[in-house]
Amino acid sequence: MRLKHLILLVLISQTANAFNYTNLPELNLTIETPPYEIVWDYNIDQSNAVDEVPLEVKPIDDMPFKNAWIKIMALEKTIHDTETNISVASREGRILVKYDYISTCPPSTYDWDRCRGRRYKLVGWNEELRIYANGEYEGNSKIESYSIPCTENTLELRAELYLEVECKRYSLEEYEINETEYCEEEYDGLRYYDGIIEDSVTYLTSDMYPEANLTFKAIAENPFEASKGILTVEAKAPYSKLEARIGGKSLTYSGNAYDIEAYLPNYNLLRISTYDLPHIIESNLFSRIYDIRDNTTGEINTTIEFILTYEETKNILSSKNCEITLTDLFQNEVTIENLCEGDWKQTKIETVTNGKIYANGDEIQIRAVLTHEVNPIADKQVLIYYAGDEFSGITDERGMVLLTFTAEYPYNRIDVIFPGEDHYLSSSRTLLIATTGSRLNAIILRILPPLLILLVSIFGIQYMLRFAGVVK
Amino acid sequence: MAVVLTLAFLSCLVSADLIGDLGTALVDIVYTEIYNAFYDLLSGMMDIILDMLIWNPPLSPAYDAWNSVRTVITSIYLVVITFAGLKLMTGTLVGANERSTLKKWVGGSILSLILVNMSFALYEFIIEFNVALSALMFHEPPLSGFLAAVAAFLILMILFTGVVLVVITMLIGRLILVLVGVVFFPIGIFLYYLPPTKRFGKLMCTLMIANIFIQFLEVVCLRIAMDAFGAMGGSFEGTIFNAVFGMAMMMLMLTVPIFAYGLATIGGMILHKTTEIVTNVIPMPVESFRIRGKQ
Repeated sequence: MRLKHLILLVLISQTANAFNYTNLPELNLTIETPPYEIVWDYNIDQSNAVDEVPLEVKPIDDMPFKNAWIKIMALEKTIHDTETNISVASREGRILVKYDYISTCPPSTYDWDRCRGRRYKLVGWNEELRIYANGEYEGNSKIESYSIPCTENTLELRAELYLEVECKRYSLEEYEINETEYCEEEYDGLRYYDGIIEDSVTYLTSDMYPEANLTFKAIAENPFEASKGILTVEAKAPYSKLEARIGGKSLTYSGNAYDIEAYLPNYNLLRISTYDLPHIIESNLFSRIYDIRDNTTGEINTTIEFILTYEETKNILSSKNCEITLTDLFQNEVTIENLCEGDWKQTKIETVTNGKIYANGDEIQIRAVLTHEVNPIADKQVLIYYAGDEFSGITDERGMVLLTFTAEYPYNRIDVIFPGEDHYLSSSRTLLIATTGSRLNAIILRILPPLLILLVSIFGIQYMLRFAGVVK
Repeated sequence: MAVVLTLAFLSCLVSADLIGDLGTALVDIVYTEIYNAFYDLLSGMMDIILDMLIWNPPLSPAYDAWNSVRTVITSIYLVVITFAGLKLMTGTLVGANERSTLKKWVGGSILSLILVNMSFALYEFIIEFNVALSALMFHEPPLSGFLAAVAAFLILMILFTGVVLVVITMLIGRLILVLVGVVFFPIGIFLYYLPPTKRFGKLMCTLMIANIFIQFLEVVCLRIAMDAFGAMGGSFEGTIFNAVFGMAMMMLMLTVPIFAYGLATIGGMILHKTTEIVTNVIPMPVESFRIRGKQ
């Protein structure tokens, strides 16, 4: 346990105690890997232990079945997504089927008074369980393995129970002896009857089809600065783990925890469901992460905004080692590499004004030069914000834009911004000017600073001369 | 006490182990939120600091209050001048020495009266002067690198946030004092030209002017710090160094008011010297009052 965990745990527990919040829920959630094996073994045991018709199943009475039912009880690798209320299953796994029935022959139709009708006697039967996955026959066991190709996006599992019964048929026959009518049962041969009962379930497969994009908003070019970047990951299905490696930094994130819930009440079987608990599993990358979930399609868009120091940026841009690994709900991994291959160019704005001190109404002339390293960037829009107004200009072949506007007292802040375009990253510069209410003030203010420097110099020299004993 | 704390921590360790990975995840969630909240707070506060370095409050809201103060002080001056005038007119009631003193009082009062009535514009001009000096020195400090460096250590980030918060509080205090100062400035001038309250008036004026120039000194301080860091930055790219430097820079900003008041005192000495030189050439009533005040 790390120190931060300990400290926060103390804080949380103390806060909970302070609010008398003692009925904490049972912590039966799991964080990392869903406990498929445990749940599967439990479900098999539970399924064997109970011998009842599942509550949600209506038994069938249809020749040759009586009181018959079949139910796909559990799947080894399936998760119920609580956000979309959809269950997803892995392409390979095992299925547990349970069924029960009484084989029967047609009922007796004997009418002794009229000496008509037939009777059947069950002499044998033959059952066959057939498991199909997406229409393909998989086997005939109650616990059967299945697999479907990667190209298929849904899994339809069907369990069929075929039953053939062998019945001896008897008929009532009339005959006369001495004008007396008799009615007698006669064996009428063997008859065969068959029928099928079935159950099917449909799951979505957990196909993430991930797409990732990494881009920088700013690249640190000296130790004063920090780089800012965004990594976006789009996945068509929820993932259990997202691992992003940006240079030597990494982040492991999960949007879910896993809960175990009961279903099929009289059997009390268990299934794994997702529990919305976004959390960082491990990270040494300074970042902010959030995801947006589309509950109708199940798509999940994750955004990681990260910040890097100058040193880290240098390492990443030299190694170009950026990749993500997405692990689906069934621990299948997909890796996307080479995310740092972009040709980002950090721009720089240098500005020059025609002065620093302006009277109200004076003309401010600002020359902004947009460059990347030492190369000028032409044909880009540069914006200037001053006194609530926006001015814009397009850089020429020297990367320069010249803008003129009027000084307004008391506004003294000018923001020059290049918002970024294509692979050129944004840059900005804030300038401070002095504006005065009157022209006289402006003139005095222009004179005063050098005068002040002069006075301080005279005073300093005088003081030093006195200190040195040159003058008294 | 130590035993109790140890037991408490041990029991927490046991509970933590029982909670397992869910507990760890929950703690991580809380930790991440706290971490992000601190970083957001810090980023926002750094922006506020930069804004406050180039912004001064408009004085117009304080004009009415200043006007009231000016009216009161002008009325007092009128009483003083009328009283002195009456005494001078009825010269038989005062001696030659007292007559000379009264003349100086009247002269000083007239100069003071002019300054009091001009104090609003004068105060505004001092602020403009401060902005002009700041504009000459201002170079937008890129601080994001320090933030990223500090963010590597939660404890340091919390400490840094604390220091930045104090700097902001100080700058807010300065802004309030700048706004309030325009009302107290005429009072300071008035008190300065009254011999018995001269020292108090001088202190008031020094504090108010120093308060205005804190902004300029902060700009200078940041500029020097960033230039120094730029000079060293090539050899010190380590995160810890950057974080510590950022912290030191903020601490330095905290000490600026002390420098400001010190520099205001030196500035006062320069003005004093200048006035002495000027008044030696052109004798003014104010000089006599100053000497008298000294005695």
